[in-house]
Amino acid sequence: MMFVLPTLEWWTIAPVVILTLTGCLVLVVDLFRGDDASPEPLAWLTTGGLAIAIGTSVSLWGYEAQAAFSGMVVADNYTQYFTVLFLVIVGVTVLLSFDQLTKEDFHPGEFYSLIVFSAVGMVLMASAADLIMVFVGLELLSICLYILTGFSRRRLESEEASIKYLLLGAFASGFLLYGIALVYGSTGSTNLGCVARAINPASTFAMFGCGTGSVAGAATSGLLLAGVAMLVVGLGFKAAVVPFHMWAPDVYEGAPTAITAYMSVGAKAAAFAAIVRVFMIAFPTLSHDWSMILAILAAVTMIVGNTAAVSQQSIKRMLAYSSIAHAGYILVAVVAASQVGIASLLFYTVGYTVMNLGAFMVVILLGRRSEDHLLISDYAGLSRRHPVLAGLMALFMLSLAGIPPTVGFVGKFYIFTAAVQADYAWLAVIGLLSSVISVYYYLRVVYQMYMVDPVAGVEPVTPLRWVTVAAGVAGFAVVALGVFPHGVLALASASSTFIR
Amino acid sequence: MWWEVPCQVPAEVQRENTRVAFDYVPILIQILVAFAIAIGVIVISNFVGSKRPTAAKLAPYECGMTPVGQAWRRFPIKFFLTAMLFVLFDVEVIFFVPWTVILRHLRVGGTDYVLFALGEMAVFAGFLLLGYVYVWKKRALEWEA
Repeated sequence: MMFVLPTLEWWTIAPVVILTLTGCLVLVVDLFRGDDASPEPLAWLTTGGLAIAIGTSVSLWGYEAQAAFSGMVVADNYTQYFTVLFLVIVGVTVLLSFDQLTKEDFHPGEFYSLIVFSAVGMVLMASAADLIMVFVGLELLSICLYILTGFSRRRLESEEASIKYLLLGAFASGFLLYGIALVYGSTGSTNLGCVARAINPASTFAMFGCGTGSVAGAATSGLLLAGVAMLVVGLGFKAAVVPFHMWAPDVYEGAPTAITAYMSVGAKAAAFAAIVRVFMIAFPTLSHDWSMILAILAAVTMIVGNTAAVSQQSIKRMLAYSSIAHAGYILVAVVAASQVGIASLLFYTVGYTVMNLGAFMVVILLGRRSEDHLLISDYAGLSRRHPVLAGLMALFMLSLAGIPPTVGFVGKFYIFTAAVQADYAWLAVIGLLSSVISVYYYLRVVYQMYMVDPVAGVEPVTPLRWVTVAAGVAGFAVVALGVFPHGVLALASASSTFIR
Repeated sequence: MWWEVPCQVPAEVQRENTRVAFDYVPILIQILVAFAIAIGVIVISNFVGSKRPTAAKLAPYECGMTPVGQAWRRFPIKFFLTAMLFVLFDVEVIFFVPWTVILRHLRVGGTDYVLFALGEMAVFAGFLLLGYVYVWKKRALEWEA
């Protein structure tokens, strides 16, 4: 034996390499500039790196699944699908944060490099073929997010949110790591394919790079189930699934709004990318053990998220609880545990990204002077001050509520269809009923914008040109994906072929 | 023999390891020398050194802070920063040790992987250096900054 040297298929992690170099380059370039230099060149540098990485990832689309680096990562369509999604989210965040960055004395070099490094973490989570890699990616993402949450140093809420997120996040990481240790202890491997083979000798996930790492059929169940339960806790925390959601409202409210937008779509999508990999590859034969647990978690998440959002006064807190509810919808797709289910998950992630980022764009456009105008009552009479923004916000709210012809409706339709096909009709019913509750609080914003007279003292703002354009594009995408979902759905289906 | 290490290591390493207990003798000598120097310096300075005590000199040493009083108070962030940087670079240097041990034996089926290992370490050290340049340029190493 002695050394098993990794075979290096660099192309499989080309986007990761490009992103890492971009982050380092931004950091170094910033070091050799004056303290008062404009952040604009750094923003362009970051965007350029992201664009190259997106291009590389797109060019890797369509190849057969390839495990690399001793079965640590795998490059398949699923990886590329999520990579492109993550990097577009990061690009939008760079655009959204620019105004606050210049006004609030953020350190641009650190801000941009941290956001790029967090993207590296997300990409690694989506491409992980090993529990260790899931953990490394998750930590890379989380540590960057802890710092980014506290980036508004002058605001106490931001620092409080950062500390809260750090403490609770470290606790959740402990659960995840303990879960990985128990899984390793009972199966003899951390590689997802090897774990699957140790549980079920007939498992066919050899493409995930399992050599002779585990003994086929060697798993003992009690220890293994405890490990699986801990993995649910650790990953569920990152995705803000009830009852591991307590951090989300406070952190989302305290963080700079652009980072809130980033976390609510990026980190959530990354957590679900890892959940799907872990549960669909390593533990499919245990599905009778975990699918009911996840189903109950999904039901509770949808109910708690939607009912708690009803009483919120701050738009950021309302969107935080709404994002918890959406984590519940996405979890329904994991419960369905079929190729159709995962394809609908992939589609819904894109749809949710578009509509939630759109809503946050409007929030940022209206509340620019260092985080004000964040109450829902501040939106009173918005249709008279900013008719275009009000129209877009109404569109995003309708989409989040799941009303046709928007992407929110189509996405929910696919997910609940998959749930019914997998004999989880009761879960679909709970999902539908709880989204009826959600209509109330989403339409409350629309009601404020169109039916209530404007309050005195809320002045119109001059909209930022590019953010307005981006909001327009998001609004277009919400409708376009709602009417013509087939293009993205075909990509989603092609990305979920690793599930049989 | 009883001191043999029961693990899988290359044959040539195993031959070296059979005399593992004897290999630790230099460390034992080093410990003895360290103790001798420490005790010797105290004893010699006690006899030879001059003594001009002041109140400040006689107070217990506490890293530049007043040793008596409230523990709940503000203290300069510089202490924290220095400790953080020390831990960071200290832990990173630990990774060098297993690498140096294994480097000479990196040969699989006649293929030499030493250059590969050197390259990997160059990448690692490069990132380390980047962090060092960052810390330096941010003036985190200047106490008076």
